[in-house]
Amino acid sequence: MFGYVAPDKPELRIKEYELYSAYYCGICKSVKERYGQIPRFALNYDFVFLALLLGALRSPSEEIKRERCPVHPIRKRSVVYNEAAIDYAADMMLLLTYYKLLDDKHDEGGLKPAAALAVLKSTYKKLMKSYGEKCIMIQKKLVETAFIEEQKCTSLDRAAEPFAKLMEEVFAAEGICCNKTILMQFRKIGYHTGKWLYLIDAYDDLEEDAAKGLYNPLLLQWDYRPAEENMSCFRKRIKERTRFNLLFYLAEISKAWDCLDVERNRLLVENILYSGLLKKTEEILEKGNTEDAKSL
Amino acid sequence: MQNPYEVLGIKEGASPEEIRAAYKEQVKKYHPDLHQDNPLYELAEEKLREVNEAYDYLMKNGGYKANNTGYQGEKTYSWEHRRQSPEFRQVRMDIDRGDLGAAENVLNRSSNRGAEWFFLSGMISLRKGWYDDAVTNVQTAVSLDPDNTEYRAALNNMIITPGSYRANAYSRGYSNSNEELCRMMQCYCCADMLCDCM
Repeated sequence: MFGYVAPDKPELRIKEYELYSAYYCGICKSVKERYGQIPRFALNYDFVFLALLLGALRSPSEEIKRERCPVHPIRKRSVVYNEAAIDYAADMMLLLTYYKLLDDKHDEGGLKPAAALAVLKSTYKKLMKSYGEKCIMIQKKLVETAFIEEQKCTSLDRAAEPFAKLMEEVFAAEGICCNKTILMQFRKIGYHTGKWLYLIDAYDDLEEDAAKGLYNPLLLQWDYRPAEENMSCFRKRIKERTRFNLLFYLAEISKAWDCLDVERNRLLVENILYSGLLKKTEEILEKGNTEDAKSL
Repeated sequence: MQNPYEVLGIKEGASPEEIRAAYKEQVKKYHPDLHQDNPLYELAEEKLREVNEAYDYLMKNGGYKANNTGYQGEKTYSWEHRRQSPEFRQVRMDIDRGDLGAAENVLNRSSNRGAEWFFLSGMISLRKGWYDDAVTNVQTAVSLDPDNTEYRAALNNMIITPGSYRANAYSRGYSNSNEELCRMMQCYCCADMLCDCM
């Protein structure tokens, strides 16, 4: 479910690319400093987006240092330090990774998630202490998601709701910002990012879910019948509606961002909003079609 | 005809410069190039025609009075109060107050499931962020009562949302063209990153 929210690199200016990398490295270092080396495997792009959004709110307090790290041993990298937005995004990333591993262990079993969980256990305990209420909210939403899967819910909107609400909770960083109207916009961005992630993931996984008989709301809502149509016909049938939904979410995210009306990180955030996410949407929507094109 | 000021989204009595600016913005939004191979193509085309008519009218006649013949004087965002049962009036009030739970309760209890029921269900879904449900319900309302302008306007408003996001992306200089160049640049970036590691 993670890693879809990324900038459109070719469209970035060098200094924005540097800033993006500095945020990314900042999250990584923040994890290392507070929880040790091991949880760094959880690193992913979606939370850089959250850090950039939250970072945009703050007065420039962060410091950017240039230093080396084991992954990039030769060239020095810019790293953002002392930024509460980055610590918060890192925490949320670890929290969701932990819950995702729990889910994987439950679904697939096996050693890998179990081992990763064991490694994250102490980190999770620390997080529970700092974000008790948020953890409970998130757990509630995960239970609801599991319930919806069990019920084989046939409505996309209903099925996506708990995950969208979960992301809303993740984006509502009360510890960083106490202005209610601003938090409201963050909740909107979180909710619609959650919906976008949920739908794009569901559309991306259609083949796999159909083959393995896993729950996927799209297969049920649009009544997929493998005996009567193959998957590429089904994709074609639901493509426009899916595009409408995905772009609607993006439109709402950008509306909320416009309401925030901030200048910091603006070009970088807008690169993600208007190009990274849009291109990702088109890429996933057209994915099923590449095979058709080749056979011609 | 529709009120040309409303079509262009400007105040009555706007200056020619304002009219021109609004016209340009609308044309960008509905430009057929943005909607190619997409079900909104026809709608965008129709909208563009309306925008053109409105602009021509205002420029030729130097303005427009709302009480001209033929103009119905509706506002897009207020409810139309006609042929309403009291229970649906209650639903509308609940939606306005933001009490979606109460509105849903009344609707669920109602046995009168005509066009307006579907329309109001759609409006609740829209407020909740359930756009897929919203479109389905309002589409049903329109098909049950094709002459109702309120339902149609609500449907149009939803349908043009993705296009306006695309237009925003476009106006910021991001476009879908130059595919080849982008692919080339991606290769360049990958190569560049490899260099960075070494």
